[in-house]
Amino acid sequence: MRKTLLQRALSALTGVTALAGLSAYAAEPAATIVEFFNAPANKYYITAIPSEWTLLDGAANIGWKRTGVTFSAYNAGQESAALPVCRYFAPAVASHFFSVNKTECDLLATRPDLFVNEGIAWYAEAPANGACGSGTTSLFRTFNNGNNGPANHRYFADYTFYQTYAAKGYALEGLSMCLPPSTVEKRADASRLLFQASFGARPADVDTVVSRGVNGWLDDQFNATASRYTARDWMSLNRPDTCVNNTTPPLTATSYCQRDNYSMYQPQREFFQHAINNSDQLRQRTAWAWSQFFVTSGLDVQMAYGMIDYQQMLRDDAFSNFRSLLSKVTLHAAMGRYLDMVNNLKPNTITGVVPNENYARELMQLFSLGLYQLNNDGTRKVNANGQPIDAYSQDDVENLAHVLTGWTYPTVPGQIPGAINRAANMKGMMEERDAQHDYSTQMLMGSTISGSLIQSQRLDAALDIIFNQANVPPFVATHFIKQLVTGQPSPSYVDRVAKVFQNNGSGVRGDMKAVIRAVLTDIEARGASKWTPDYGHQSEPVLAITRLARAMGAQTDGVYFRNTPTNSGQTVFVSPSVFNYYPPDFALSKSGTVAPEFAIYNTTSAINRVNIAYNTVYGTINPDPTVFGATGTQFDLAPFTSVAANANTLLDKMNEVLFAGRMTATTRGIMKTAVETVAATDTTGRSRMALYLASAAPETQVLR
Amino acid sequence: MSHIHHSRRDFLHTLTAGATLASLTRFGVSPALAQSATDYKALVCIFLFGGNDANNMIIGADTAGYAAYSAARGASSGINIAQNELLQFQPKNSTRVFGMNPSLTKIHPLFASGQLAVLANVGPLNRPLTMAQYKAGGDNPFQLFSHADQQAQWQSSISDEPSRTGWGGRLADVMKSMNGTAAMPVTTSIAGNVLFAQGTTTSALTLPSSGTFGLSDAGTSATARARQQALTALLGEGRDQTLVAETADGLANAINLSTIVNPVISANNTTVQSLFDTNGNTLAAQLQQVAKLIAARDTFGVKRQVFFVSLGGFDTHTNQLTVQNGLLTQVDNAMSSFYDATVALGVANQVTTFTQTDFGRTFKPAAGGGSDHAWGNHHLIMGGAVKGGAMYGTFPDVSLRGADDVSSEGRWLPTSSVDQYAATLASWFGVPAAQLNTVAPNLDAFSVKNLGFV
Repeated sequence: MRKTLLQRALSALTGVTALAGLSAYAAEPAATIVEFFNAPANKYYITAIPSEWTLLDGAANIGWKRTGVTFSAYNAGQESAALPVCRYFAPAVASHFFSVNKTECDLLATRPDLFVNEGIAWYAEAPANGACGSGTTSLFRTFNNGNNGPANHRYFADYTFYQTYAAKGYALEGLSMCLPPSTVEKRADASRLLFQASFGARPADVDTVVSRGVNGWLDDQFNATASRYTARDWMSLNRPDTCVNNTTPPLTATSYCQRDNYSMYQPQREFFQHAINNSDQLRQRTAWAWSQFFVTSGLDVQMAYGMIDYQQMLRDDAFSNFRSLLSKVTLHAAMGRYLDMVNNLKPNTITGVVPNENYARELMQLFSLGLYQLNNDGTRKVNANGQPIDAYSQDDVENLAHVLTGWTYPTVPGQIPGAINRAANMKGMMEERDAQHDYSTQMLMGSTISGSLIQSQRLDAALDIIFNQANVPPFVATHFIKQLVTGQPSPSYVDRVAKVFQNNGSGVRGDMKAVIRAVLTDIEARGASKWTPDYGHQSEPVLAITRLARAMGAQTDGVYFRNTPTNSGQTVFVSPSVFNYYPPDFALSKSGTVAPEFAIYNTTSAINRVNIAYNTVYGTINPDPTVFGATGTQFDLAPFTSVAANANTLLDKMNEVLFAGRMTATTRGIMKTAVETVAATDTTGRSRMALYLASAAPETQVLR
Repeated sequence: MSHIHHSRRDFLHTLTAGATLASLTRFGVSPALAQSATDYKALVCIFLFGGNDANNMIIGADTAGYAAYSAARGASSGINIAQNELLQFQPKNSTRVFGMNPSLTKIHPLFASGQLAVLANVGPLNRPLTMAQYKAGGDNPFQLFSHADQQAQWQSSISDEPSRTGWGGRLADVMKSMNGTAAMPVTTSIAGNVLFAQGTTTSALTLPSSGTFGLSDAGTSATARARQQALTALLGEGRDQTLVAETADGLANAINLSTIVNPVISANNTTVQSLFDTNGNTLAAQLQQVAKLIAARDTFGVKRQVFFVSLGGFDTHTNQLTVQNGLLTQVDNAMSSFYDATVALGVANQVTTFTQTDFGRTFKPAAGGGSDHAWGNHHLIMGGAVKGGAMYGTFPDVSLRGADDVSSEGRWLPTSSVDQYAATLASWFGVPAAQLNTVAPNLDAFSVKNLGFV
């Protein structure tokens, strides 16, 4: 009993911090920690010594048995940042104790009467500030003080499982040490990274991420050549009578003139073609996130050539500087049309017409600042009465609207520039018409935009004022965290990413490459936070289908996928309003958990998501005879069919590709029963069964 | 936000918690809720997303009225509607003559025949507000003129703080017991997830506006059965994860409801369908779906239903005349077809349809032939129970910088509130007076609880 008390005291010491230093993908850990359980004694024991495994494997007659749980660790000299883990035996209670904490180990060493020093068990990293470093596995410790069975510790990598031990009368002692991930764990994390940073994992992508490491893969992705939409020429907004859908053979590239030019058909088709087939995944995923930040919609843009030009710009600039994006988005003619900055003229005292406020308002509310002043960690600032403080005023909106006057459509190729270009041209950047610019000096959020500047300088001055507002870093950081990682970031996560937005390490503000790297490599993106109950986000309808398609090794012309998310509330490039498909602050009514994607989750979309998976897995997708050059969609199920004769091996593969290594034993059992109703020789049928169930399972519809 | 609003909200919380509800019942305030209703009633909300410019939907048409209109929206304004194009109507409770937008040809006659009413200058208010109080600030609705916030305030009837529930949903909370044990939710949205339909204890059924509603995997082979059983079992996994459980619950609920609803919506109903032209009119398609559901009310075993349908595209900053005329034509066709459907189904007096939108728009034109975000706005209420042929509320003084303009661009200070609008409809729907402030939480701030239009 004395020893138990001492051990309790020692437990309190585990919060002591030490330096964290292991990088995400250091050397493959050479030590394996194997967990054993002795049922008669009701005791767990872990050891990394192979001779002890042999000993215990041979002691089944007295109850020792492997639990199946293993952890990875370093051996001496493998990793310079790793610390020795001491191992002590307490003979009075016949139990072992492990610690990476030198203070704790030294304390045990002072009581050789109670604790027998058994040397160094393995090498591991110590927690820093109560958390494990990025790319390491958190090992949690519980302690049964002897009141509910014999005194014994058990260690867990699975946080949820760890927490269940509270109900068994164990004390939850918190984070014990940080272990290097094993290959299995690395593969699971690689799969998670692909959920977060791509349109889904192709089976071979996991190998690529593991071999390159998180940062190496990010480097490759930052450098990958951008996929290109097929550029289309300007067409008159009023469709000429000659531009129709001609169904008479032969089919040519221009047969479906109306559909291909006057709808989002081709932009949507190419979006899916590239998202599913191409390798510049992070760039495309980032561009997709930008398109849900700097929202335009086919409802107003209408013309394929304009939407393609705008979306290509977001791709090309996906990793550029936020200030540069602000300029380009503001001046792009598709945005000009969508939010009415185009042909926004200076005040007319005769007609009484005042500058249009639409773009001015949304530029601040949605594209940079948000409604309320924010702390750097994304929480709202409050006034003395505890009320949020507006980020800008109605006066700011009106004043900015004046500064944004005098921009017209790009001159249509071959036409003569007009005083105001009335012909809608949504390709490229709007042109200055300084005769229509209001040069009055304006105040914007406390700064002055002088009337003595020229028109483009006045726009730059306004964008500089906005770019340098303290709200921008947490506002943009929060958007990308929510789009890529979790709807419930901790304030400290937002703060860390926002600081990188402020300064990329070289004094540059707004470097999106650095911001995206910070979002994806943060401890909250890679570490044990993934086990907390409200972590992650539901895959939006587009991601749900691209993930399945990529898992199935699809090569597609995009035709079939183009419309698949529509009945789930996400028609690509046709947001119902500038507020995107779903609002970033949508919260579940039951728990208040912020979960934006659930704003479009309802009885219709819930069923549609599953039906799309069914139709994709079990259907055949032939080339569409109305689409010139159509190739249809082909799947490569070989990674699954090659192992499908063995249901467990098939499910291992499914676990890696679609469950990110987190398939539970129960889920595996459910899926195995279903898979085994299909003959082992029907490897396609087995693979389809597993793919459909894996895609429909609520556990994989949430990216965590 | 004043203290009294907080305490009112707290009261609301205790009401919905049930304990106070029970005590009210003990005092005999709401005995009606204890028994299943024998009559049927439905409320249908048509939400016009983007902010419909009702300044060009309901226009002063007599000499003085049109002169006031054309002072700001004259022939050269880019958004003028000519006096001789207006569809005139004379409210029986007014000496003034008004005109409807020329797109509303089909519902215009319903005004004279008494099934259509106009509610003038209504908008979100925390309490009755004078111009001086507005200018002083302190108790104005938050984030006026912002789409998302004003949509939420119209849908929640709460404008002093953000709300997680809508007034249609809270109406469903109060009235749910009248549907007995029916599995069918009180609220149905044909327009996706909306705050309006989210209650404290109830959630909406969301349906597509066309096609079937059910799992594609409907096979009966042994393998198909195994697959379906596996999916059902998978809905029970991972429930310690909040978002997984929410996903699973949503899917389980959808699968259950699809077995009830799909037979209704996938069957032809020629009585209803012959009345609608859904070609290029998504609102008509949605209202047709509503009519089919109302026709099946006895199958579902429901006595009270709240529907939400919508049409977008009303954010007419530019090119307003063309865009709004096109949209209002769709509204006109869809509403008149729906009214005809309720007549054909014999429920014209039991279905009340009403409009909502983000906000009104500036009376002063904006560059490019449009208008900007404003506040108070005019709305339409339609149905056999409506006390039609009249204008309710107070039509504003439409002069710029005039008595009702909170800015210099023609943004009307509302003279009726969303609370009053909602409470009037809720009263007709059968909500006892004592529970009206569950639906419209700031109603007590207004001396008039019922605007009288239904």
